[in-house]
Amino acid sequence: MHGQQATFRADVAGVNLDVAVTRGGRPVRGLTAADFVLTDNGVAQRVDSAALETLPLSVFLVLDISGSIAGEKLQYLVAASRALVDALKTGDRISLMTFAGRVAVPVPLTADVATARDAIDHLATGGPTSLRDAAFTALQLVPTDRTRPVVIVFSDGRDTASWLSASDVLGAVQRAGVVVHAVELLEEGRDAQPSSPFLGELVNASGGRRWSATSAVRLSGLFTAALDEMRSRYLLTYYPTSADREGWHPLAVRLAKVRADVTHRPGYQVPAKAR
Amino acid sequence: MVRPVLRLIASVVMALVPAFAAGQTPSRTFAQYTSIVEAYRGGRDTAPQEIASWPQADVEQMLGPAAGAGVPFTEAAAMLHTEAAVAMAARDWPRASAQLAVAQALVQALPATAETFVERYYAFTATLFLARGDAEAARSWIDRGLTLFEYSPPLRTASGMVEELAAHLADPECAGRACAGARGGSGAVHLAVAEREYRVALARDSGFADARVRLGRVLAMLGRDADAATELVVAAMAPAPRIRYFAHLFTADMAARMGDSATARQEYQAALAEEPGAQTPYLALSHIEEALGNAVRARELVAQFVQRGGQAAAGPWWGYQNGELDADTLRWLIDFVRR
Repeated sequence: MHGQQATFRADVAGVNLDVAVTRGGRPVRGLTAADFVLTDNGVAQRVDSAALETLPLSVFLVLDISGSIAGEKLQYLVAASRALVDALKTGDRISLMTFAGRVAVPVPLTADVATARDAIDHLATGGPTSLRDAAFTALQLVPTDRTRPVVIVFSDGRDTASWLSASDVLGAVQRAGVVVHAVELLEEGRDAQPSSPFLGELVNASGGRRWSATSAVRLSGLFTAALDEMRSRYLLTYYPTSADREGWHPLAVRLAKVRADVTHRPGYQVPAKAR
Repeated sequence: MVRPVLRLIASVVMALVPAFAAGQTPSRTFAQYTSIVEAYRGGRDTAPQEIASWPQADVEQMLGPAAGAGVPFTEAAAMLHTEAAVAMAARDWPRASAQLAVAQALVQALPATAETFVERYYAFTATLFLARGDAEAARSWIDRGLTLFEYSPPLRTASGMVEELAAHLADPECAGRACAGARGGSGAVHLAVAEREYRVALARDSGFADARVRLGRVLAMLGRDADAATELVVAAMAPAPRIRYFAHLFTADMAARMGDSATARQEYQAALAEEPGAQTPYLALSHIEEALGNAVRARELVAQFVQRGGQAAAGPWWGYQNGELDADTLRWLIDFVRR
């Protein structure tokens, strides 16, 4: 792969894969490598290790501050963002990104949570929505160090102003190997249906999860849930036996004996240049 | 013409100003009103704020005399209220709308000799509503203008913009590069109408660059790339940097879609040269590099626009896509009444 993602790496030495295992929405702990059955490009692989990942997180909080967030929603968004910052642990870092029409990075990646809190307190809304452009931007800003990057995107509506298409961004997320979680505020009275399929496609392509709510009151819980989910993921390591050809490598992971839901990225891309 | 207009003004007053309707006594004199209008004509930039601070009842009490007081005075008064409306539109639309209604009444009182001003005024006002996403109101103003100026390039162009916005709203996910060349359904119908409107504008004035670049974009969205390229090449030579920016941006988009990364790069760079503060070309260039496997270059390009921070606030594409106030025509109208 081009890039060196801490959460997912494919090279001659081995492949790391972030996997969430949940039952009833709660993480399942205590699993070992022997519990996982993994295929890479249809070829069964031996999982060498399965560890609850303990590396520090590099959190990219990507917030929709378009005009539709004004008023009470903004107040709850600020509270939720502060709650997420408060839930960070020593060694974790955070970057605050915002988007309306413009995509901005008020806080580049930092361990200084006070700076992040201050920026969150000064959020102001207005303008159209460049969700796809913001997601792409976040993918290009994740660090290539040994932390685990996670992108948490919040939005309440449809993209109205992006230049990049959904397929542009989904292609990029497949290549980036970064987990993207989405928190979506649905419009009340619309049968709680997402206004756009993009966020769902985005998290599926990255192996992340989507949380939805019809009330901004719930945002704090969802933001911290996204963070907690990231902390309870397993990092599987394996050495591909016959999966070194360039191109798309579909991945499949299931549990041998345990009943639970397994979430992971659907595959990875090995470009010609990387070989 | 003046008497029916005065009745119209009175109806506006009664509809918009409960205080007036309740019989409150205006506290300002007509002399004070004319003083502000004259100051505005003379270039006092704070005049719109002054008139905006007046109780609406006071403002509208002056309208009868103002509407009949002569052409230059009436045009200036109309623009005074219009500027006040523009200034307060974002934070207090009901009051802005009231100012606009007053301005409209004044414009309707103008004689036929003021046609250049009136034509542009209607086109500008349509964009004010488009910027609010109110295509229906924009269409109403355009249609009123077209009854007076059937082949007006600015009005026909504004009409095309309404159709482009309708196409966008018909499928909001189909934004930017998303659906270029692949439009179908009701979006395609709106784009076909937009094409027709731009062609009418260009038939009257082949140098109307806004219509030219928009025609190029619409043709590209309809998948007629060769025709689009012809229009965009001409638009890329327009005097206005903003028009040239869009011409390069849309040409780059077509090239990228056809897999011609070299041309796409070149055209996005040309767009960036025209609007160095714009974010879109940086993103587009970064995406090209990322897709080609040039991850480092892709990250550099994103880092560049991120480092620009607030300087990248101007996003011409967002305005194009969602509708925006025509600042150039507003400037022309203000200069016209202050000449």
